[in-house]
Amino acid sequence: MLSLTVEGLVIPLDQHGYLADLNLWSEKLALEFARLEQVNMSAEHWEVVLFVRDFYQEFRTSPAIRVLVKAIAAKLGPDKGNSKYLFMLFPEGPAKQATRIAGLPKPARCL
Amino acid sequence: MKKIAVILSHSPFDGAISREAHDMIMALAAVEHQVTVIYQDAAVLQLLPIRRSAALGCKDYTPAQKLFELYEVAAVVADACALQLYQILPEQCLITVTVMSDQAIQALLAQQQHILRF
Amino acid sequence: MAVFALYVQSSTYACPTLASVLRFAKAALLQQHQLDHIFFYQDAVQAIVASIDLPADEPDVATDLIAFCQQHDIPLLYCVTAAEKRGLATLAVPARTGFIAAGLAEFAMRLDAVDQVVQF
Repeated sequence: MLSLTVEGLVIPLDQHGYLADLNLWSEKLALEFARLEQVNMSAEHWEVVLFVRDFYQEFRTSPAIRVLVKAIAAKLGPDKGNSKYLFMLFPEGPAKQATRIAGLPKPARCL
Repeated sequence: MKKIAVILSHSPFDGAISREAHDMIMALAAVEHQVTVIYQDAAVLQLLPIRRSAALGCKDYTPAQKLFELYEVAAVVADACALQLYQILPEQCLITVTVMSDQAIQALLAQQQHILRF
Repeated sequence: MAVFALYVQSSTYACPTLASVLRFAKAALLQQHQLDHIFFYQDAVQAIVASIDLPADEPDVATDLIAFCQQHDIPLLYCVTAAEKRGLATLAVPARTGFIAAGLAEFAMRLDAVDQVVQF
């Protein structure tokens, strides 16, 4: 089983390298995932990461890119709810990277 | 863009049918089809949250239906007889539904270009 | 003439689902209709498993369907997420040759060019 060690604690991951137990998430863990994703967390990154966490709390599903763009546009406005802005923050894929940093399951790749 | 109706008729506990149907609805709406969702028979139970889902060994996937609005699903319809049979009031439902008679649903279906049934 | 899509979601093991799909596909082409694609979702994704091992006296309709679709250039698609969740196609054990991994998004987009969807 994959795992991540943060401050001496061994945190289990799923087979895709995402957090295995959603309850174990912390901001420190988010920073560790961000380091693995080579994302330098700024206030803008945190805004998106916390947004996808809220999204998951409400809808119980990890957002794929299309709905992530729509949801952010609805809540934070079109300047942030567009794929160009999100890809600038998360070049390897906003849905894929932001959900991992947020400690959520990997989004379905068929949507 | 097509007018597509998705008819749901299974209980939320009947395997992956309903859950994968919700994914299909969102996929269709995401590419701008005009989607009408119709809850019939035991499927009206999907409109209530699954309580104690952990004890049942399944995930409560019902909150994802609240995304239909964000995906701009054109209409969400619940069959009046089914709601009555399962004693569910529209205001108890997770999402806003338009209650329709069988006859009205029939007319609605006649307007669709594609129909998928889950 | 119409453009058809065949959407398959019911179980395919030891039941007439695949035979019905194949019969419909043949009849449609015979009457000069077009088949845009065949899409497998829900429990029908069990048809894509490469390691299916049938005794010689049980009909292997999937093989016939694959041959038919290759001959007529009809994409035989399946939902990759539905297959992965059921453990039916993985990186280590891919789907049977002839079945193409796709997503719901692709199915949804293809419907734009389709006149009739027939569900099995």
